[in-house]
Amino acid sequence: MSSQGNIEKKLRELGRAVGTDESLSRAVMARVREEPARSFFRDHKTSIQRMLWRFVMNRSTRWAAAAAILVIAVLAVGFWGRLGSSAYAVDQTVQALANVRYMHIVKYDRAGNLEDERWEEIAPNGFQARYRQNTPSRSFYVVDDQQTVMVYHADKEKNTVVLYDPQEKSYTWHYDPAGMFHEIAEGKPAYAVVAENVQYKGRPAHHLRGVAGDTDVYIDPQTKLPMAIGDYEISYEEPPQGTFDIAIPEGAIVVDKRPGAEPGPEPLWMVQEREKKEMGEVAQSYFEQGRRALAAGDCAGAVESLTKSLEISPGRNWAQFWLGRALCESGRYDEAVYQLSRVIELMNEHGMSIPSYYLARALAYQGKGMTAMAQIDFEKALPKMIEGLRNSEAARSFDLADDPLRRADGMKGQDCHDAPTPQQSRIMMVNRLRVLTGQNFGYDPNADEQEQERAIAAWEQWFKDSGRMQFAPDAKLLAVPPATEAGSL
Amino acid sequence: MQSDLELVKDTLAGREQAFELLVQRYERLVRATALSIVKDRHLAGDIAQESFVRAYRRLHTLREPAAFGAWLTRITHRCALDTATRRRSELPLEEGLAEAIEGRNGHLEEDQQALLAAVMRLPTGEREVVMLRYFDGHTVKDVASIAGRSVGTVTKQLSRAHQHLRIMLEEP
Repeated sequence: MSSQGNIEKKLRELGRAVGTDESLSRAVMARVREEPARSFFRDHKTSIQRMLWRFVMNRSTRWAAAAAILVIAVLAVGFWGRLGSSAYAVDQTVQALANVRYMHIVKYDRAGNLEDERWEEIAPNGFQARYRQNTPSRSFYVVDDQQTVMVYHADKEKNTVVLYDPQEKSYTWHYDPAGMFHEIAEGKPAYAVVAENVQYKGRPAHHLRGVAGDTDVYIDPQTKLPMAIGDYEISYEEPPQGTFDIAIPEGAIVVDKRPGAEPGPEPLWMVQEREKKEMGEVAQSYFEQGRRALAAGDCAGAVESLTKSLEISPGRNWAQFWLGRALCESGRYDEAVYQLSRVIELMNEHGMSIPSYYLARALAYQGKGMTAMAQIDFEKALPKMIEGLRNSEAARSFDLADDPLRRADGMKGQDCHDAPTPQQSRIMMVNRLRVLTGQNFGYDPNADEQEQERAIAAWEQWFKDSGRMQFAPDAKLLAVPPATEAGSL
Repeated sequence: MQSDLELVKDTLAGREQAFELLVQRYERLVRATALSIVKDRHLAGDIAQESFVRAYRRLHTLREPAAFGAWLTRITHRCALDTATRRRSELPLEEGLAEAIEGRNGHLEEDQQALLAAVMRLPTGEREVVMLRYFDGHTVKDVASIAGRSVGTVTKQLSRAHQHLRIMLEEP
């Protein structure tokens, strides 16, 4: 296949992988219809008023405006002639950054208030030397004079300065322009030029964008230095006198953690934060015990450990989920529905919907004999399950929810399992569907794509034609091949 | 095939069906833009929904209705960045959530992520025609109608996009 044909094929495959979902346009239109019409038309009216204003400008006003635009255009041409005469190359920025001594980095919130400010002194070797951070939005301040790092937690309840040895604690701005542009010089395509000679906040600039598409960078055409990265604006002036001086705010509690110093008693908030961190580790340990107990069929042990984990660290979604499943497997359906509802709500609050959680709750409802509720949850999970036959990625949440020992969330140990291969994943999904729907539609994971597609389409049609959850515990299940064998299929 | 210009005008005139056609026309482009940032299909779906609603709310501010696709891409990009930032900075679940995100059935294969990243690096005009042509399977003529460009321009943009993608993906 030609190179062009190859790219076209890959692009089409990518388009299919990106996918569409009928429900999107329904959901968008439902929200659009709920939009308060009056605000829309009020804004629209304003826009019409602006147009009318333009229309009713008298001839002389229009001539005056035209003359003004002409003057600006002439000035701009001269300006661009000076600034944009030669093409920009990112190497120029690499060279310019090599001579930078100071960086002043600021970020403002939407209301124009200072959200974050950093000053960095760059040593001749290119590394950060002295550093200052003022983050009023978090009441958090840092000064590093290379002898001591002072961290000031300024909120009223804390009002604490902690002094550290720079070898023990260091801070920096999370973007590292010198490093980023050095990567480009080394041939790593970190940034691509989007456009030269554009405007950034009324100033001429060259526009670059990160390869991953998540960071815009604007370069000053004169100095070739970045003037903005992401939401941060950067300038390179020398900082005011005393910027890197350590000064303990009056009345602040001081905790000195430098070697040889007398640290003094820690304030209560520090003790509580440390305990919280330690308790998080304990919660994790109970979480792992609970998962292992569930995998071993010890549902009572799983319930006990997972309950303890959640008492210490509430809001862990998988702890909540496994607890729900352990309760369901113990026949404690009421409690299972409660726990699974909590985790579903938790994920919804974060704008997420995990289909395997709905399936688990459907099973708990079914256990309670609430078939109508079970059917509602089942319908939320089933389309994704069928999709999992076409695309093993779609089956991942079900694979995770089926295997408490799946290696994830820092869970280590020889008894943990890696993710199933795509072939294993598809076979497991067929088995789930056979048991839950009582149908099999002749789906054969080893058949050719066309035949598989016919069976999947039949399942989809069955679902459309009011497919109902129908347990078939005796359904014939396919053997899941071992990873090595499956990988070679 | 109605052009974007016509559909935007119809929407502003109060015909909701016109906006529905725009949603269907640009769904893949919007999903792909979101996916290139958040790397997760479920989240990309949520972002797509939010982006279309934001676009609807601000439609009257669109100065060049024919440039709807590029404008919508910018809205989606912003919306996805906001979501990604919020997810990084605000979610209290951290470890638990990270696992949930991993488990959500929504990740592209590695080479598809690389291709999507390359598509997102294309100049706006090229990116739009590539997505309409290959993601949605429109003919070159239809792409030209949708984007309000000549068939010759679209053909040239596709050809340049191929060259760019070949270089970025280091194809021979």
